[in-house]
Amino acid sequence: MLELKQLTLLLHNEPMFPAVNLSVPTGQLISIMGPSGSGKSTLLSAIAGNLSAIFSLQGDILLDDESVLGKRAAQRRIGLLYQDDLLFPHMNVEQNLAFAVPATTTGRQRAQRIVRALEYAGLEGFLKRDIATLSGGQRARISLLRTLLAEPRAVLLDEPFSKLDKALREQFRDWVFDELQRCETTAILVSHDISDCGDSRVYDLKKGALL
Amino acid sequence: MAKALRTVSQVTRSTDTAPIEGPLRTALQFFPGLTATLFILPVLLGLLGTWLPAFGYLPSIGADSFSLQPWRNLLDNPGIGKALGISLLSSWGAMLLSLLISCVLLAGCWQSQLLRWLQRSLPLLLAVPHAAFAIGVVALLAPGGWLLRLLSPWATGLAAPPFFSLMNDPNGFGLLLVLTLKELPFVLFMSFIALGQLQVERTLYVCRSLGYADTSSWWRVLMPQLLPRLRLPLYAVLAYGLSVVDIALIAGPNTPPAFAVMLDRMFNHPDITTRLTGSAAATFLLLLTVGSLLLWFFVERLYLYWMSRRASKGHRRDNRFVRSLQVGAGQVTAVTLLIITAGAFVLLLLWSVSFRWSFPDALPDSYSLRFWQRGWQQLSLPIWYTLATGIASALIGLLLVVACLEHEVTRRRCSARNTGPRLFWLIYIPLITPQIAFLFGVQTVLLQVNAWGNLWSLVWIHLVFVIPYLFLSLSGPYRNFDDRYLQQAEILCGSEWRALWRVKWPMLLRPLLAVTALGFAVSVSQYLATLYIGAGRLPSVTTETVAIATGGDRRLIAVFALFQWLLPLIMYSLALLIPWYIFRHRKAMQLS
Amino acid sequence: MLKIIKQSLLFLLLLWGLVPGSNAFDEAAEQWHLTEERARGGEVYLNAWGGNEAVNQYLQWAAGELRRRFDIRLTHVRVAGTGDVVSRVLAEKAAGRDAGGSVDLIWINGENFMAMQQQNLLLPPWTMDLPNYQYVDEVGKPSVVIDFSTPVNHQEMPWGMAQLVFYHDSARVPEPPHSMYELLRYANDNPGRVSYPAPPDFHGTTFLKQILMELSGDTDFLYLPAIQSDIDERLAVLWDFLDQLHAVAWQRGNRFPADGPRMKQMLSDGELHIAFSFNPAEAVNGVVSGELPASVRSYVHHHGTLGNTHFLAIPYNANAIDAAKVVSNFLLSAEAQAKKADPSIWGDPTVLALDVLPEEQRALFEEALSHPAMPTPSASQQVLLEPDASWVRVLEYEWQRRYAR
Repeated sequence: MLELKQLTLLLHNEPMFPAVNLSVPTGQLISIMGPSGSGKSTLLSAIAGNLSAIFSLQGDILLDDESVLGKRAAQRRIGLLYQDDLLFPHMNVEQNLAFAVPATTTGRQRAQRIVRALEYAGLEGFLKRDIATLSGGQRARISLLRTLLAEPRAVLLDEPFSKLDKALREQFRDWVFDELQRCETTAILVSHDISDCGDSRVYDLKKGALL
Repeated sequence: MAKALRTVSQVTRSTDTAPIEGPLRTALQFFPGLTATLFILPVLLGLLGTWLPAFGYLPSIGADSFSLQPWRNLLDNPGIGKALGISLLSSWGAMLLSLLISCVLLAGCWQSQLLRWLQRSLPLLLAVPHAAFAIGVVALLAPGGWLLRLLSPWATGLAAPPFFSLMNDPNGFGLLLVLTLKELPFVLFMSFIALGQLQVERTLYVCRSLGYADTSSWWRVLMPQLLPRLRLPLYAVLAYGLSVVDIALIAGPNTPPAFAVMLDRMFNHPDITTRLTGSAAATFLLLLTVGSLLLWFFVERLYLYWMSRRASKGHRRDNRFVRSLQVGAGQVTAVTLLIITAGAFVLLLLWSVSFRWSFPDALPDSYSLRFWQRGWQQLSLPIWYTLATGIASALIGLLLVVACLEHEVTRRRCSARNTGPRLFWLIYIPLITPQIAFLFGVQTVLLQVNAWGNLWSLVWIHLVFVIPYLFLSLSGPYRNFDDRYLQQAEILCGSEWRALWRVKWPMLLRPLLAVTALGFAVSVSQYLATLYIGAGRLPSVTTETVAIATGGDRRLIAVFALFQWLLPLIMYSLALLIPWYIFRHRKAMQLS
Repeated sequence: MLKIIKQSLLFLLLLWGLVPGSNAFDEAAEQWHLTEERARGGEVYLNAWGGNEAVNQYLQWAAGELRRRFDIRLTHVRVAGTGDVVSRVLAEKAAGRDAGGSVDLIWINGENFMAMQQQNLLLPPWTMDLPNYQYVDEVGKPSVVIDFSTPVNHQEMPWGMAQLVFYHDSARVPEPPHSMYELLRYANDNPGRVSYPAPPDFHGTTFLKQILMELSGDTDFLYLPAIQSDIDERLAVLWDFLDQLHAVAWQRGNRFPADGPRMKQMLSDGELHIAFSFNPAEAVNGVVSGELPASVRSYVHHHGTLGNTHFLAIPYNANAIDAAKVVSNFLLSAEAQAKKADPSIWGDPTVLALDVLPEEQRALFEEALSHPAMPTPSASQQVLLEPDASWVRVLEYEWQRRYAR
């Protein structure tokens, strides 16, 4: 379970938005809505652990009843997905995915997990493909798969659909939500477009409350 | 109760928001200090070791009282005025000429294929070692050189070499030419880097819409922004011209020689007391360099002021003749540079396999491979030393520079302002200080601690010069690297080290290898450093080449020069081939 | 019975002790044998001018022989000038490095030797211990004991002879000038084709000395240390000559060839018509190596030309002293000297007295080829002794003062 307790971000000592009190139950997704510049991406980077030092943070972030504020980003096990897929260009699909799989798995387990993940995305046979040859939609799917393969305790999505064209967007959104549900991953999605939220619960950042 | 308290304390806690760093990143904070010490310390120690004798204090030869006698001896030295004149003419001339040519090239040929070609070949041109280049150019343009052999006797009617000679001419014009040709790629290289920070295309569009021709926009708008950014590189060019010894020996006059050569002779004169005079001269050279840098600062300011006044007058003169003249001049010089460099290389090859080559013949009379055999015999040990020193200094330098740049990344994540690296100008200290002004002092210090003629001392001294170039070339690609890739990698695998090793550095493989090759090339090129610190026990290909360069057997000189040229060439080829092979199936990693 | 044997032995021992001289002789041989033993496995760094390919090749041969016969590794450290090496030894002395120095042998003579001697940078007298030193021609070649008027004092080993020899391309220049006056006349007829290396290059300085020798009536003053008050008067004839020569010299005296090897190259191209060298076999070497055309010929001036000896010295702080001595002794041997004197290899004349050598060793020298480019045998008789070393510095300074502005 991911909890934000009285969380505010201050820029030049001015709060960017009203204090956030939000609980995301395990395995569920909540969307946070707000216009451009309202601090949504900054909020996500604060949760992930990449907050730039020009902001200061007040409040607490709890993951499974444990504060994550003392840990650095790599230790928090919170996945972060951007609108840019950020797939590593020097690796093929398999290597990109294998990079995320925890080191404690054996080679065979790793291979199995990767193959299964690709099946869920409808990308069987894409194992050895060079990522530069993939379409935008394929790359976005692989990016999510990669994030999920790392077995994060929570996933943050920062406007993940804005780079896709309209036709794909809805289909992709549904698939993302299905995947998150299948892996029972707690997630927060951030966007300025209400259609991105699907049928998830929505929190309005400016108002400071769930809709 | 306890739980309530815990909740309360958690809620009201306002945490320090600087991202917490892992052990690797915290260790990195020591590297900038360590690196700076490493390459500044020898310079400072060396300067001190040269200032003291300049005022009469050198106990080793029995001079232990301060006096101004060395300075008086310096002024009495025959030919010193002319030597200074030669040095000033060649260094300022080379700097101004290479700057002018670069500007004309950029202004006239910005979008052309030629410029793109030139930009691609810049790393290769930069890697040509100074001595080999000077030898090749002199062999090309001297009275008995290839240019005249190709043109005689049918075009010039000459059966013996002419009297007029540009190379080694007593006023230093030959030296000026060779220096300009050597500095031009460097100035262009730094210009391209600086231009990357300016919005060139957008500026040109805006100016076009205001009615200015492209070349005018360059001179009035872009150049004034470029010039301040080129200040430090131009300082390095000026300082190099004033203090260079190997090129001055090969292409410069010898009665009197350039000031730095005269200095070098003073340090090696059989009369022991001339070393004091030499130290005074070295100190004077340092003052002269500082003075030149200040002068350039003012000249630049003046020029910018004058330019801004001209630009605000709004003249939109579109003098087609001047414009095409600029374009033409730019193209001609770019092509000339490439032709001369290629020509020098081919000429050296020809000489290296020739047996007898009489004057007006365009090609050798008879061929032989014995000089390659002889050269290999004589150079096998120096090549080994050069490789060892070069690879060691390039790799150690790379390690230090990457550590410093990674630390900079950490600071950027943590700091409130987007600061550039502090004390960036420190990097330029070894490039601006005349080498001969501090190498004598370093030699004395090393002798005291019995570390003279030691391979590691030599590597350290080479590091002093390699590290600045590594910084200059690597900071661009490193800063332009999208940090989000690294963040993703850290989040995905949980380890800072793995993220660097398996994601960031492989993605930066091309620049990393290219920069290592550059570091190696810088180390190979070092002449004075190896001479003074190697104590004759660690000859390098460069010291051997310069030692015979003023001699008469051109075939052996050509072989030596080619060996010197080939070593960095091999490293550069590796730097190109390795990524090409590794990324052959990765479209995104191909060269754009 | 035992008593008689003991007494006879004692008697024989006494007789043995009474035989004069044999002890001393054996002792010297014993000492040398010990030196050779200690020298095994040693590494000797010979610092020598690297501008002459023939020398470099010869030293390569010598290194091979030394390794085979004495298990000594000889490294030829090529230097641009002997002054560099003196600097280095001086720097080591300054830092207190009185043993284990980086230089074991120096190829040296003249003012550099004088400087080292004055600064106490040399090993105490040692050459008399070398077995081959007994064959050195101290009588017929006085320059082996007096180096530019400085007594050698057994602190440097004579290695070879040098003589100023001129050469020209007979295809371009059928009749070369045989004196300085003729040279001036030749330069007037062929402007821009005569020059000399600028001092402080030792070829250039020697050219100046040669002019002085030929043009001064009484040359005794040159063998005494230079006196400041006399200089202007004595050298006036030299500057007068040079002023006339420069007017018609290559580049009108504004520029000069860098050194001897550069002159050779300019002769080969035809930029200069006359060149000169200290090695009588320079021209032969050039033809054999392809640097010079086969039509080159050597000659000396009618007046005679300057000649000297060049030496090998050991610095006081050398690392491999015993090995250096063994190397020196080998280079002084008849075999090594004969190989050195072979014009197709180096052609440097020997310092040994041929009449004192055993028969088989003398024969080695007769095998030397005679090549058309060698100077005539009588040339080696016309040697003038070098002036006092102090004149070198005087000439360099005065010349640079006048012409290096």
